[in-house]
Amino acid sequence: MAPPAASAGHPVALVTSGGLWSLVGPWRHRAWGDEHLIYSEASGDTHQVTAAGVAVMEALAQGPASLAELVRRLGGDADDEAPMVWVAAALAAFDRLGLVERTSP
Amino acid sequence: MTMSSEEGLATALRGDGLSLRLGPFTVRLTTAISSVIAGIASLYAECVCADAPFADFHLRLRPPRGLRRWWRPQVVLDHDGAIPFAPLPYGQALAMFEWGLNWCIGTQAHTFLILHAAVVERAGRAVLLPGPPGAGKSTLCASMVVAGWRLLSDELALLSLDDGMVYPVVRPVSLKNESIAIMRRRAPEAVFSAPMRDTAKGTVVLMKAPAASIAAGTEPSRPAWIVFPRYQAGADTELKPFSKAAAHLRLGEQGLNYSIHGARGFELLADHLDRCDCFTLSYSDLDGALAMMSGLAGLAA
Repeated sequence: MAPPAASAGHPVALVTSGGLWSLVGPWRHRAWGDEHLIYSEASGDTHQVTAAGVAVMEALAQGPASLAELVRRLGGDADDEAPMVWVAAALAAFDRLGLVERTSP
Repeated sequence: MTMSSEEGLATALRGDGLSLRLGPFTVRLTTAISSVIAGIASLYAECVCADAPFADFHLRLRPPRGLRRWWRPQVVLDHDGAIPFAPLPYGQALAMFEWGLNWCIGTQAHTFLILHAAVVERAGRAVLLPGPPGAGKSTLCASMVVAGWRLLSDELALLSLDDGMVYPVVRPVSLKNESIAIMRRRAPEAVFSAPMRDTAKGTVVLMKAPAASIAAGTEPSRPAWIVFPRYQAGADTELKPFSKAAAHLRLGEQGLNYSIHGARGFELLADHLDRCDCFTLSYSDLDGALAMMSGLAGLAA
């Protein structure tokens, strides 16, 4: 059976596409143990995220980055597919929440 | 004229209005509706403020204009000349005052972060009881108050933007349906309003706040616990720790003006959660729930 086609927002599609990722706007973060909340000043929405999700937001706070650059900022190897897919999945999820956005290459 | 006398109070209500000092707010109420006059006299007499130069909210309860009032008596709430709600049956006028005042505070008192929660206190530490209608919040709150906790509010938690405290707005506890008979049994000496039937919330009776709570009506308290009550018929009484992140999300969703405060509201709520322990309380037995709450506060049950 053929694999499902990757849509534009699917992590696999994101891995193979270009462009720079950036934060949509200022954000706040509070944590209690391993529970994390992020508040988006752009949308006024509050989201519960994982510690890894916070790390992605912090890495993007350093400035716009390509997916490969973001993986490197997080200490991963951009030639390794697993971290690329993982970070792409996080970006796709945060894109849906309106926390991050991608600009065309 | 002695403002605490019912006659003087009625004269003021029918005339230029009667000022009530309710925690940080002064409310000026005008009405000629006898059920409201009687309700204010029995439930709010100690809050009358004879020399208030200013009022935060100007409310008037009156029949709507037009012929309809002759065959189907109704009441409207006039707030600074505007009528924010559809009319209610005449017999629900006192409930309309309560709900209208909640609306005024929730939509205009932005010097506080306001959560939909009852607030009671023992020994200088407050517990917030947030919950949607039907969660058993008012019944538990009323029972705790009868058991000696200080009432700050049965509906609105006023969280200061500055000092980390919760401020009281002491008013009657609004009892609905089955909880009315329960509280009449538990507090036969308490003052209750006449029942208001067939409201949007069923039958409503207001239970007067204890004198000590009214007397301490301007003293804030430090929040120590946030307990989400859930009444469930037949449920065991169970107090369980609850996630602070989930509590933040739930409180924000139920907050009356959380979104208005933006990032400041997010941080303020998080600051409160830093200082509070959070729990869920499932209960069907009020005495068991009271014992749990006493234990939480380090009191003998």
